[in-house]
Amino acid sequence: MPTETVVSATNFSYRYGDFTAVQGLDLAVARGEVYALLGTNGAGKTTTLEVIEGHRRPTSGSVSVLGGDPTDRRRIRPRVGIMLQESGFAGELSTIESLRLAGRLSGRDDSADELLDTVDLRSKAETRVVQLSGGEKRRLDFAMAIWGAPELVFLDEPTTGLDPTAREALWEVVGDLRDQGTTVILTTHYLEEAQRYADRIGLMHGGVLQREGTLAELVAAEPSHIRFVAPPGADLPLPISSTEHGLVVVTTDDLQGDLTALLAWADRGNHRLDQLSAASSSLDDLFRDLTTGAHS
Amino acid sequence: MIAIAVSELRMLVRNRLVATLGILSPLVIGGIFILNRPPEGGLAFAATLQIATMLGLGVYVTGTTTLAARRQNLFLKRLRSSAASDPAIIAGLIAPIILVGLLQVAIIMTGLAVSASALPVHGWLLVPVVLLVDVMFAGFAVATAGVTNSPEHAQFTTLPLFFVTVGVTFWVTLTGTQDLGLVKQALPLGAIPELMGIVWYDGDLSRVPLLLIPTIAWTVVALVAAKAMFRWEPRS
Repeated sequence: MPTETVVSATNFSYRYGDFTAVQGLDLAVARGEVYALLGTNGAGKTTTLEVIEGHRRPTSGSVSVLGGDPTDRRRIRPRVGIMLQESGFAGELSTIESLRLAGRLSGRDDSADELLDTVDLRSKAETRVVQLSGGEKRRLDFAMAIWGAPELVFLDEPTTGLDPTAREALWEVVGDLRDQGTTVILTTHYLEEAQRYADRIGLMHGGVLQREGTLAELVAAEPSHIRFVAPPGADLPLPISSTEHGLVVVTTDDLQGDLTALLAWADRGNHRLDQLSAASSSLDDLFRDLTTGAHS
Repeated sequence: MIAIAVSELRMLVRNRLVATLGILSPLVIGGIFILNRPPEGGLAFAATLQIATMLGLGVYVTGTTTLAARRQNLFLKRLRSSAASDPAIIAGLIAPIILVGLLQVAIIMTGLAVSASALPVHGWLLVPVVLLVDVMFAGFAVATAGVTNSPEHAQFTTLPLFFVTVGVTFWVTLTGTQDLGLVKQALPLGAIPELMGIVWYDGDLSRVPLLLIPTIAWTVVALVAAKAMFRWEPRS
């Protein structure tokens, strides 16, 4: 179980003029963890990441990365790989030249050929970057971030623009890095990716880290739902929370008990429960509740 | 810094049109001097104007445009995601432009020497003068890039300083320094005409330190302005 804290932030806020992008954020990421930061557009994920990466100084509060100030590039960056959400290339350089340039500037050693193999860009090694597709540029970006297997990798929406095969391949590499002890902090819009690959998840909305924990912890705190078509005129044994496309929705903290009671009631009264479904809360539900709840 | 500079130089050379014109232009100018020998006393005038325009366009305007472009397409941000320091990044991006500027001036000065069938009397003085002007324009390029939102804007934001420096060299060369001598020499590139006179026709060498002072001062001003005005992010 990892214990050493690699990234810690205490009550940090960041403001763009009058607009507060991140407010009072506390964060601790342990060595070897894959931590996913999720949130709506404009939730403050990228600003959070950029402050932790050392691209910006927090307006207030403190941030520590690998035991130091993240803006101390000379000391911190040789141990860190960064894949920005959006960043430019020198378009007239070839793929391998761009990768080698990033490698030389990283302060770490690696093989450009092997890395191009890893991200499946070997055949594009001599192609000018300006001629690469969006997905290929993203893979090159990823290769630059993981050059020399850094201790800590930041991935800001790494799979945006990638096809499913490339996404799978990227996560496989992230898994390998984690197995080697690398800490990964990422943002993504793909909830299923966070669900599948992250050890812990932080949910941001409106510049605030609203929830944090493992998937099980996050979901456990949320109620489950039973959905079915209510038999006409029947007096249901459970309170209806809402209706959805002709289905009644029962929200419950005791899914097994309430489902058993519902089925027993239906059996006794010979009621038919069409389209019956029962499910624990998912990350999608949690995300939706968080955003709609905060909006309302 | 070296890795960035090598990459920039590689891109410069890779664009054949740019590389060809970068070398061809000063060669053509040098050739014109050879074919049309400057009039008596005209070497210093020609050298002054060539230094001002060649470095003004080649270093100042190109440097401003390059930095604005690199910032706009977020390449600067990528470089800042590395372990390279800010000064190393700027130096790496600007160094090839400075080198090309020096090469261009060297070609033109060679053309002038061939046209005059004589080496400059104090040719060594060209080295500090051209270097200072080169670095001054590079510093102002970094500073101006700070207020230039896009490469397209650079053609407007560079106009004032470019015309001031070229205008000063014209004014001082054409009107001399008998009147308002100190004022003229204190202006950016204002001391260059007299320095070029010493370079090509001999003159009072004891005046060289005095003439270099404003040139050094403007170089320092440019570097201070670069540090104060440059911004890394498209949005602040």
